Amino acid sequence: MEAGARGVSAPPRWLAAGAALAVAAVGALGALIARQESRDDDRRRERALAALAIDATRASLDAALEAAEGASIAPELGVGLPSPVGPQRIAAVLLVDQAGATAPVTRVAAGTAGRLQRGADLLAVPEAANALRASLERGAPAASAPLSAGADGAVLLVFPDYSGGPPAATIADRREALGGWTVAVLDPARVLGGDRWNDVGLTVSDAGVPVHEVGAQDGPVVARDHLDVLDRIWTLELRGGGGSGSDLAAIVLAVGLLAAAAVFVPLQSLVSRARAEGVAGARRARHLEHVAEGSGRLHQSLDLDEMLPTFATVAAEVVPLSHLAVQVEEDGALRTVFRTGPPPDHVPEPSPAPPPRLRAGEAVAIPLSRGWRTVGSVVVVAARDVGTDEVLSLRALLEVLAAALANAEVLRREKETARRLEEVDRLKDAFLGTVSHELRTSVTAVGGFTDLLVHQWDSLSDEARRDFAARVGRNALSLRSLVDQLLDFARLERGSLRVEPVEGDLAQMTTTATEQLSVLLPSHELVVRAERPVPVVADASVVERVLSNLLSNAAKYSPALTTVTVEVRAVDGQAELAVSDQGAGIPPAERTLVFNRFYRGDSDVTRATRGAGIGLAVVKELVDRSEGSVRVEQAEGGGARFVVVFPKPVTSGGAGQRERHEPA
Amino acid sequence: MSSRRTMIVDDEEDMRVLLRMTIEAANEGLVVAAEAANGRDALELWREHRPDVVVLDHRMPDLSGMDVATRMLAEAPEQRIILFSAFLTDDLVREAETLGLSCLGKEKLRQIPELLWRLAPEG
Repeated sequence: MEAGARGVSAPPRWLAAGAALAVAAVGALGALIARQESRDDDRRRERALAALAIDATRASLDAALEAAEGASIAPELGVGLPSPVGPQRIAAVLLVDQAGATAPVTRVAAGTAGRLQRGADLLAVPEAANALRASLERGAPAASAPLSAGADGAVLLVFPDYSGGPPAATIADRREALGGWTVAVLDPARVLGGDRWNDVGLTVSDAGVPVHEVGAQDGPVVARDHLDVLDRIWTLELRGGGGSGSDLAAIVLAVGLLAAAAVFVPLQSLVSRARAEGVAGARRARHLEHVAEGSGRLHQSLDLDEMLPTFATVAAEVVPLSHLAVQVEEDGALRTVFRTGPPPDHVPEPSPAPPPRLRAGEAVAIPLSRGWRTVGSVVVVAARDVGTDEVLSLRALLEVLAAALANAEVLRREKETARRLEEVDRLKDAFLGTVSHELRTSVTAVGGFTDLLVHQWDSLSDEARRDFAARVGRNALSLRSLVDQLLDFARLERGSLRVEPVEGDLAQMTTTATEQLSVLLPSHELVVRAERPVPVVADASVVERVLSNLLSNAAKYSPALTTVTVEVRAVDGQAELAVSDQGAGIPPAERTLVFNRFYRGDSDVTRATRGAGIGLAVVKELVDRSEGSVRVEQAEGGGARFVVVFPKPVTSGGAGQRERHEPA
Repeated sequence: MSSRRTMIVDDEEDMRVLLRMTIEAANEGLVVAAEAANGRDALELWREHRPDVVVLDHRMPDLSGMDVATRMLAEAPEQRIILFSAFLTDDLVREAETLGLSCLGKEKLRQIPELLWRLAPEG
């Protein structure tokens, strides 16, 4: 006969010597067994009641859900039920209006407590108001205090709804994004009656974090069940009253003293059940340890390449897997970033309600989310059948992975931003370097030639004098243009380019400007076609600066002795100014990019010429401020043709959709 | 007084004219033997004319002044070169002085003749 009790055997010595003890022990044991059996009955009853309580709670919620299916929310408030709607969902949807002053119930499902009628203002119910505010502040579900007297009254479980998005990072932002709340009513007292709560406790947890507790919390868990709630798994646990550990020890010892088979069998089943619970408890404890340690390891690196192999190792310690794949969400699609083990034949779609158990060889795709947003998905194939405990541990690990994926994404975007800022800085430095060099060259020329004129006047020929004077003039103009560019650049940086459009004639503004600017094109032929008046609303100095930039570009980027053409005309009711050259033109791919600050194209011509890339950005800014537009196209003959469009005055009867600007 | 032959290299025409006028007007026996508008022409003309001193701009497209100076010194380590630039950063000056070049900022144009005279080796 086996002594199933751990560590205690039944050597014959005891049997012989303890016969007398045995008689006395029988009496004691009998009493113990009787007590244990009645306690056992209690436990059995409690378990049945617990199952009933959980079923009843779930039934009331299920009934509520069935009523909710297919119904729609008041469309004027623009908030719908969080998707997907399914039979496992809770439904009593309340909406807060935009001012946040009331929280009226807009839909109530059958079976919920009588106080929650449609139209009732939940903020007027103090317990509810506190829970609504707590959930808003935390960005997480919250439970209210019981709505009726006693610890077992109906309780509201509150989920904030952020219009389909994730909870924002600050309370103020969350308040702004809040669309409403979904509220579930939990009412276990109706089933158990008030006096059971002295011995029994109920805990409702969301992903392992307790949301609500009722009754005695110090007993062992005697029943556990899971609810799918808005894509989260909630756990309902019922705890029984009082521990029985010390009694068990006495029984075990008694078995060792006696060798009565008739008494033994029911005792052994008690003992092995206790051990099984102990084993299960130890296994749960080990899993919790794994999850805690694993999440510590996962958080050590924000780099996905470092973190994912660690995740695979940690996950395998919790649940034996034959395949694991991690997918991240990028621009609306899922991309596999990590895979280990032979992939399954068919990868399933991520299921919104992940299974409580896994079968060996079965492939499951579990979505990863932060708040309401999907950040990725994990595909697993279990190597053996996996029970609910292990699945829960795995899901806890997946929460950690979801957080890590979200962090890795943030890190990636920040690095990208930093890189772009560095690039702009580098280009800005190059621009300032070029401009300051050209400034000094011009200053030297002005000073140098003036010096020569002053000191060598008499020994210089007429021709030389005229030549030097012209050079001084040209360099002075160059200086002015450079200074204008620098100032434009400074104003562009600060966003303060000033533009004061007035009604005028674009043809005249153009001819006036080109008379001055022709010196920018010493080696080109400049043709201006601006005969007929073209009414326009524009700032003459803007027109001049635009022309100055476009003409300098034309001079730089087209060969000497070619023609640069300036045309002004009225087209389709708008005032159009075009500058064309006979250079290499701008490739179609670059025709929008050229207007970016510091952008310089990539052709040989561009690399050989000097220039800082600011001119066209200034043109675009000035034209935008003038309520016009600028584009570049191909000129006849292959060069570049820059077309600037300015608005016409409204009174002149053209397309005239733009507003008149009153003169300053 | 023997003449000192110089060569001017600058991509800006105004600078070349100015330098030539400044050097010749100083009337100290300095002569501009050749002018070049870019690095490659400069090297060709330099090999042909072998001037005593070269006045070299730094910021030019294609070959920079320092590129040209390096090549010249590789062929003729004794060549005297003045880096005459509007853009003299500390790094550039250090690099030039390591190679044995003299540096002068463009705003000191008037000092060119004297510097040339000092640098040119005895005829």
